[in-house]
Amino acid sequence: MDVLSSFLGSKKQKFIYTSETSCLLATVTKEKKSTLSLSDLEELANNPLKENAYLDAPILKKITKSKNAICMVAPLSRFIYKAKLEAKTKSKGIQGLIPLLKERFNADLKTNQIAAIDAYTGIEIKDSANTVLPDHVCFIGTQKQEIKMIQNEFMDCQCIPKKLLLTTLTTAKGIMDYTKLVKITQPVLFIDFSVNQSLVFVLCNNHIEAAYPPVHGLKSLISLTRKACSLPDDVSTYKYLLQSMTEDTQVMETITQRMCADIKSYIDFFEVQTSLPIEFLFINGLSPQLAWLTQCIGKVLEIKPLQIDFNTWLQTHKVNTQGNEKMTQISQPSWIGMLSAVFNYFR
Amino acid sequence: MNLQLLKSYLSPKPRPWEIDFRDKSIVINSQLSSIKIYVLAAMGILTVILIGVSFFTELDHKRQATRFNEIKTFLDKNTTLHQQMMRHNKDFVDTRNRVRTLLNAYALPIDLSEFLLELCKSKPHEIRFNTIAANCQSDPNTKVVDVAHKSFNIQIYGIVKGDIAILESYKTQLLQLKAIDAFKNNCKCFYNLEKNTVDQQADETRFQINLQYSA
Repeated sequence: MDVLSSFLGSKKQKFIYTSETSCLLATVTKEKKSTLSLSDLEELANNPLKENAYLDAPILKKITKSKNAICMVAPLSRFIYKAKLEAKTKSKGIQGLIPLLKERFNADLKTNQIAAIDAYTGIEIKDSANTVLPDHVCFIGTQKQEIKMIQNEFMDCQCIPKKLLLTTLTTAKGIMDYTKLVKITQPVLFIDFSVNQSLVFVLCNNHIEAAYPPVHGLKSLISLTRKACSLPDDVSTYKYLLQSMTEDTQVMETITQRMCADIKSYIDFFEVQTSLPIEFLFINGLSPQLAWLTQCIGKVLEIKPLQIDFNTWLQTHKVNTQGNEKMTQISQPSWIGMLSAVFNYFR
Repeated sequence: MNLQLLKSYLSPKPRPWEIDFRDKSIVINSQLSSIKIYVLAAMGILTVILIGVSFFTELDHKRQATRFNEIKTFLDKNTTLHQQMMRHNKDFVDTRNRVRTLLNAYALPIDLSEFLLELCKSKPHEIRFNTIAANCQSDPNTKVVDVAHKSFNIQIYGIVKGDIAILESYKTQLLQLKAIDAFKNNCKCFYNLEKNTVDQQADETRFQINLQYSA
């Protein structure tokens, strides 16, 4: 049945968006007049501190037997590098990218699964005789072992992915789509918050303008909070970050100080290099309980958090919002990646 | 259309900012294993259906064979009796026909013995009877002979010597017989001379007198 529906081009598609802190589920149906109807919307919390597993047991139970689902995942080892290609490298073709990856980014193809995309168009660069390399290339990848482990985790609960996408790129695409829609031409600082590290890059005019080395992640914040508040362990500290941090602005600023300093240096460097001031901030991978982090970092860096008008965005993509009580859930930034994947799939 | 063009037409269009990180070999293995499961399940179901069909066919065949044997035994057992019964039936039918004939004879509306006696007394010496037959026409299916509603016919075959005009007067005489007195009004008497039956040397003529009564 799944094979048949995929052959006939089914108009119903399940989407699973997973990050270290949450899991979002949605089933999207393309109705008459090309309207999209979202159903089975769910938001589940994922514990980022567990070891040897990517998803919590209740999430795995929920996604069991979701065959042909489009899955978005956030492996800890994910990365995005950007490089401007010299004429010499371009002349070597795609083979010339391999030493570049190794020398400049210390990324090995044996242990990592890496894809190269045009930083301006987002089209994947494939190894063929006619391939002409663009001037700016982004390398998106993750450790082979980790992505395989995540895929096996999905497969073990009979959730066979139709596609396995990275949340980083899906959300970045969503931000680019939205800024294009509302005609924001100023650069947006995109931070992909993760457990071990946070990726930092700048999106501008529908492309990746710059990518910087990773900054601190959740574990670092937990460690700093634990010290600052004298909490007994990481688990209780994480709970504290989720529940009580909004009231403790002093600790908030202390723990993000180092992270903000690193990011600030990138912003300064970017602004000097491009003469473009960064106007907006977006942090990906935050559960609603960690949304204070965007406000805090934005305040320190003096950058406005990017406000997403979901109604406008949904209406533009003909999403039927009538008669669905759960549609109110889609007002959190965590849904951007999910919606982006939906719109990209049904475009 | 060359192969490369066809391949590019069939392959999905690349979507910007979308990289599929699936390990396709795992997915294909999983799909193959699920296809294997479906195939095995289908084969299993088919086998069960076939076993079921053959089992029920065999069961039906056994039931038919048992029934056939029962019928055969019944026939073997009853053939002799049946033949015997058929013989009895034939005897019965013969006897019934004989009884019916006799009943018909006795159930004539006239007293046949009296009629014969009167016939013999009234017979002129020129006439000689060869055969006298009397029959009664009634519905063969009626079990009880209804005398009042029966028709009868008496045929007298004989030879007349000399002038055949004597038959005419004898016919009148016959209708006067006491035995048929009750039926006189509805009774007809006529005679036929049989063709080529005149014996020229002996001056004899064969005749047939019919005495008919219609109810």
